[in-house]
Amino acid sequence: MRAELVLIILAMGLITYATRVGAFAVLRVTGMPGWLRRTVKYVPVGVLTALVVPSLLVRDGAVDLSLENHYLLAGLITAVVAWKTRNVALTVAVGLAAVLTLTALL
Amino acid sequence: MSITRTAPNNAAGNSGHITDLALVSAFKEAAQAVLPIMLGIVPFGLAYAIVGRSAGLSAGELLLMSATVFAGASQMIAVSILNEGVTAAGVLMVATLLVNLRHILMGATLAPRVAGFGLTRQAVIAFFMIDESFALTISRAETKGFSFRYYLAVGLLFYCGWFAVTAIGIVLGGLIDDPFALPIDFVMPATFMVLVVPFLKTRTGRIAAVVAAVAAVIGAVYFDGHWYIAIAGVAAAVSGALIETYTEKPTDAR
Repeated sequence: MRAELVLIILAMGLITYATRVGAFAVLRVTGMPGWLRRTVKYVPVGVLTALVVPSLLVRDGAVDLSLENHYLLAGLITAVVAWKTRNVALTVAVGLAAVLTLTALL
Repeated sequence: MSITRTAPNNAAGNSGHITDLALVSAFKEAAQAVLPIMLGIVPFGLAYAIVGRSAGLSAGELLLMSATVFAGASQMIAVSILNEGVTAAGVLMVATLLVNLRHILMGATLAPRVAGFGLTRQAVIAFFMIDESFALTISRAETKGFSFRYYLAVGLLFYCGWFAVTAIGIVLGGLIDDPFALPIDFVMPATFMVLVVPFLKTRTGRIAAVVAAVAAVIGAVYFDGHWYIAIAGVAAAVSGALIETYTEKPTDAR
């Protein structure tokens, strides 16, 4: 390992950790203001939605609503299973089956 | 705040119910939740290792980065910037900071749940904070409460998994043409669909989700990197808070 690169990597680690611990550190000192508590309440639903929707709708940097986009149609099927069963294994299995089937058929 | 060995009461009185599991059941529950998501992470870890090797980084350097940075997006940016030589170190530091700023939002969101913990536990929780561990933990907290041991188990499994996938990518790099060839990248959205369901019980939650979906798509199309996650988080937070302030009767704080 080159010393210069090790230093760069460790600095990256420190910067990344600072972003992870920053909010805890500041809020330990200041306490959690009420307005912030109310505001962050809906962050989880936003983050989780962001981890779902763009990966189904956005292909190669553009919104793709066509039938060519197998992930969109498979995503709709998968969403129904997720909603009804709340079972991760079943949802993933149905989702993968839907993608593979659509890819084979269309 | 003092460090206590027993499960602390949440000093902020926010989440109310802190359950602490036995370590074994924490790991069992965590393993079930982590496994499908880890499957979805594999191609990213392989791609990182393969690109890193072709950028001239040694196996040790790539593993060190996975062990200390533990953040896929910034590691991927790092290996592509370092491809152009270490003279770009300043650019790399700024890029690392920017791409990881979304952690601050996640930290602020977790803060009420961890306010009762001592310094050490908060420091540990911060270390294992990634998109995926945040998503799993906050979704579990919504239905079953926040558990430090569950979070720790989730974090350790992702951490070891990420390190292992890096190692596998280094060893097998030459044999893999395209890590994204299989529809493995469908596994993660499918998993997160299940995780988001508990947040859609209320009308406000559903509206916030729709706002976040629009914001996320716009963010994904017009901004490079992972900005869409933070953009959607902020959009949901602001729209949810506005709706609660102006239309709903005050409900029980969660």
